[in-house]
Amino acid sequence: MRLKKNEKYVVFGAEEWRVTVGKLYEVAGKVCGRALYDGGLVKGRKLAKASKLKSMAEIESVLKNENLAEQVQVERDIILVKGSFEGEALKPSLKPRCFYLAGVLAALYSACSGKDVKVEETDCIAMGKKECRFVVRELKWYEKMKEVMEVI
Amino acid sequence: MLKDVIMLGSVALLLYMGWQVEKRKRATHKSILTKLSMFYFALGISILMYYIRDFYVANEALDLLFYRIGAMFQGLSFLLIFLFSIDIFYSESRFKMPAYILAFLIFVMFSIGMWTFHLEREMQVFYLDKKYEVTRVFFPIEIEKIIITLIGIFASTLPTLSFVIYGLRDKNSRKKAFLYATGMVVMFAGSMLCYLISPLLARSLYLVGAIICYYAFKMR
Ligand SMILES: [Zn+2]
Repeated sequence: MRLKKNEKYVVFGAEEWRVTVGKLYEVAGKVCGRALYDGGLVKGRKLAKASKLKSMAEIESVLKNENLAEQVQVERDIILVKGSFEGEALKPSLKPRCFYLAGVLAALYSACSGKDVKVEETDCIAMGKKECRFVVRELKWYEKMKEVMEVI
Repeated sequence: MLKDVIMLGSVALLLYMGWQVEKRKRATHKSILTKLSMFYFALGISILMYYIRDFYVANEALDLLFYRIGAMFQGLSFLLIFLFSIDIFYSESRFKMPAYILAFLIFVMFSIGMWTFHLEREMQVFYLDKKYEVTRVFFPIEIEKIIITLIGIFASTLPTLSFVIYGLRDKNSRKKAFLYATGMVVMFAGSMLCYLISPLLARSLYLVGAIICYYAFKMR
């Protein structure tokens, strides 16, 4: 999918992801997760715009198109994802590893609901679970304020 | 001439910031910013109305018409910035609905009062070019002044606090947050002083407040 004219895209395979991002997690831990989350937000906003996303029911096809996930199930504030690209690439791990996907999901959810949300992964296939489980919650006041301050 | 520069300068700055926030809001899907951009627009439009009414000193009906439109937009700007901070602080809490309803009620009452109550014009002492200013005659003026002052304090506390508390929390954007808080306080103080003492003071304070906010806005 072409998201924006005049912008270059490269293909980043699972193995490159495993080596690059795996190393980053080793040295930067949480910071790496946060950076990937922010990157995911940017990607998610573009995807929401390019696919004219209206409801969360449509996100499976969007994520599939991008090879980010294979199956997505949304139940209110819980999102279950099967075949996450990141989780698959970063197996095995003790902690959830789908921060980029969490960012994408947050942007898509925000675009559909109009709410500013944070998406946190609680279970991950990287940890040996069957699927990745994400919880959507509304931002705390200082998180909202932080986002506002970044824009204004 | 000086007055034109001050007033049109504030209008231009406020409208520009409103437009910029609106643009960035669209780029980032941050719906929470709508009320902030609308706050800038409403305040800018209200000052523009006050500017326009000065051309109609000789025509009482038109003068009062633009005054009323301006005052309504100013009330609207207070409402919007108040709701903005409610969205930040209380969006999940059970205080949200009561606070929204209370704010709307006050705004509606203010607007009804603005359009229906008798207004009188009188000469302003502080006004250098001897324009006329409006005196409202809702109830005894002392009571009205207390009520309007309380509304002003009520509406301005939360927005200012949201910037101050955030500034205390986050070292990196402390300066920016404090600048916004200062800019807001100056603009709110301008509104209140305009009502209580003289429009001359207020109009210069709007410009100062708008410049401070603009300076914070340009900080990265
Ligand atoms: Zn995962």
